[in-house]
Amino acid sequence: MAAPFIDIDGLRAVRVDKDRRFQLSVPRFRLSSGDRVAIIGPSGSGKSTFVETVACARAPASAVRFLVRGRGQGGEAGAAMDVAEAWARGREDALTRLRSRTFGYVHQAGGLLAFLSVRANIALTQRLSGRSDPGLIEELGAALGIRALFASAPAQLSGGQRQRVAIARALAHRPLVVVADEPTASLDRRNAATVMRLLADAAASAGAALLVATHDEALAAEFGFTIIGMHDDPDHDGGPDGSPGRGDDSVQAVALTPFPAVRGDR
Amino acid sequence: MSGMRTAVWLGLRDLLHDRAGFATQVLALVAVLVPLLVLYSLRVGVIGSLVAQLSEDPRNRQIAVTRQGHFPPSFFDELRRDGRVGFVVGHASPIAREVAFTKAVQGVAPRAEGIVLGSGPGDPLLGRRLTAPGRFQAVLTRALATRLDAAVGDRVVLGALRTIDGRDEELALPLTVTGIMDPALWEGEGALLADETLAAVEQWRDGTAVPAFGWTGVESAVPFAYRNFRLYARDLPALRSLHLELTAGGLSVSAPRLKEFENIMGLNSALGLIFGIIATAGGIGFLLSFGATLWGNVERKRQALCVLRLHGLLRRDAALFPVAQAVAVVTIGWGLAWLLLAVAAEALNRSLAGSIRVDGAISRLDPHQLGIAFAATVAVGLLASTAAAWRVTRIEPGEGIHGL
Repeated sequence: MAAPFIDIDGLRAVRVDKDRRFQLSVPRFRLSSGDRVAIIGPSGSGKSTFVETVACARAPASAVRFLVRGRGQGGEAGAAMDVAEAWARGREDALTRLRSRTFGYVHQAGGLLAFLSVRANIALTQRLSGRSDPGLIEELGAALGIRALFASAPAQLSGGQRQRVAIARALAHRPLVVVADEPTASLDRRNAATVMRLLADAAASAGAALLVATHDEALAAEFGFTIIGMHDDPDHDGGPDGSPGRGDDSVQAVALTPFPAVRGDR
Repeated sequence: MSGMRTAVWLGLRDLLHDRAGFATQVLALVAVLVPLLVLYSLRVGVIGSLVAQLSEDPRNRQIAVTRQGHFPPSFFDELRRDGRVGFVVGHASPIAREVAFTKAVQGVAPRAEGIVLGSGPGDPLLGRRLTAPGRFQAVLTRALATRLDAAVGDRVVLGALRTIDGRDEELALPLTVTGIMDPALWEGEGALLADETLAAVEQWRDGTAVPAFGWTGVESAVPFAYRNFRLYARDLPALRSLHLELTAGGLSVSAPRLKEFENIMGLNSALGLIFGIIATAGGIGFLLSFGATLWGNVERKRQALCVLRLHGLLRRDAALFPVAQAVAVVTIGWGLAWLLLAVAAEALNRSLAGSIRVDGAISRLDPHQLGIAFAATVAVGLLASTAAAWRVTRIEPGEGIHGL
């Protein structure tokens, strides 16, 4: 069995906002080629913190194991990087390169750059990862039905069109993992279903694993996602770094409980 | 390198996308630069023309000896090695300089008295077209040539008298006329001789033998020395320092036009101070306003920069985003300001040509001055972008996932 792209044990992430401190615990998490995982939970439950941390965009507070098997400079599968150690040692450039070659990101409202055309937005990930492939941009444009919009500016697009462009951009550099945070939150039900189907199909065609944070469990289930729920952990006693434990109202301790389908791989 | 190029490209694309903001920043720079450049060009033009006017006439750069002395050849050798000295040659005493010239023709020959001066290569009195006279050659002033009815190629005879042991002796030295001088440089009756010829004539008048010219006399017990000299500084700033140094060395010298030059330089310093104050105030104002604009632009583009950081733009490369924009604004603003300066300079030169008498343009900047002004503008632009660049480096990639 191939090694997972993402391999996490005992990860803890802390987020401090204006008026609250928030802690996330991830006992175990694995993501392998072809996996399609949805993180489900209400607003404020820690989905974004989880996604940001797993996607190497936020430093974990601690982790027993946090390995990401990324792509090398030439696009080949590279050796696993110890992400927790990289954060601890301040190897920020290495983490940035890992993100650019290994991950694709789909934002809630597209996250497109207003000053670039649709085509330039899609090509951006190729440019940043150093993997120019104009043919793939054409293929993605045709597959997602946005070929005619290549010369348009993002401001001229509808919400659904923006998400299709974001999906194309997320896949244009052939990432191993596509991460999407509430990709359908700004769309109506019909468009949400269309975008989710396009996202799932495009990621499957590219052989990329898909990790989606969403509050729409029904939609995730409809497209065959493995569901992982976020919930409060009543047994949380505070972390080893001295973070506040039970009884402190400013703390929301959250544990991530893998569903059997995911846990069964371990 | 690729990340740097990408950051620069993105910064420029953003600038072009936000055309109104771009134009506003460029015009703000132009509004500061044009008055400064016009002021600077006026200072350079007026002062430069006045100094050039003074420098052009070699007599303005002359240092004259007011009391005769004893100046051996080594004194002149040392002066000629000094970079501030444009030309120097020894003189005879004023009386010894007066000789008679006769045109060498059959019959009644025109005759005139005149003054002879030593000369040599680089003598400002020769102007640009005449060469220095050789041992048996002379360059005549226009007035003397007219009196003698002499032209280039004619032969004249230099005549001098001396008295030895109560006996009068006469010297007749034939010379070929090799040039007629510009009356603007010397309008009296006189001639330039080779340095060695003048020295020989003076030694002969002193009764000394001059074997090189076949002239007999007593053998001199002391080496020959001039009693006077004619010195021209290379330029006006050198005139001031040479005058100071020679005076400090105990020589009695005067530089008749030095005071005028110092007045101009005083005016230049005052204008420089005024310009410096205005330029500094304008520069600081532009630095702050442009810096604030770039900072505000980073804040407005924060989400886009978050996305770029998330998708793989390195922190240090991202910092080039506002720097590229600053350089673009400064370059285009400077180009526009330069065009407006050219228009303003043309208008000033036309309108003030009749009221201010200066040589050359009243408003002008040389290429190297334009280059310095451009470099200074770019430096201020880069300085203004440093705060915005630092702000970009504080943007975390994690901010770019949620809610965009």
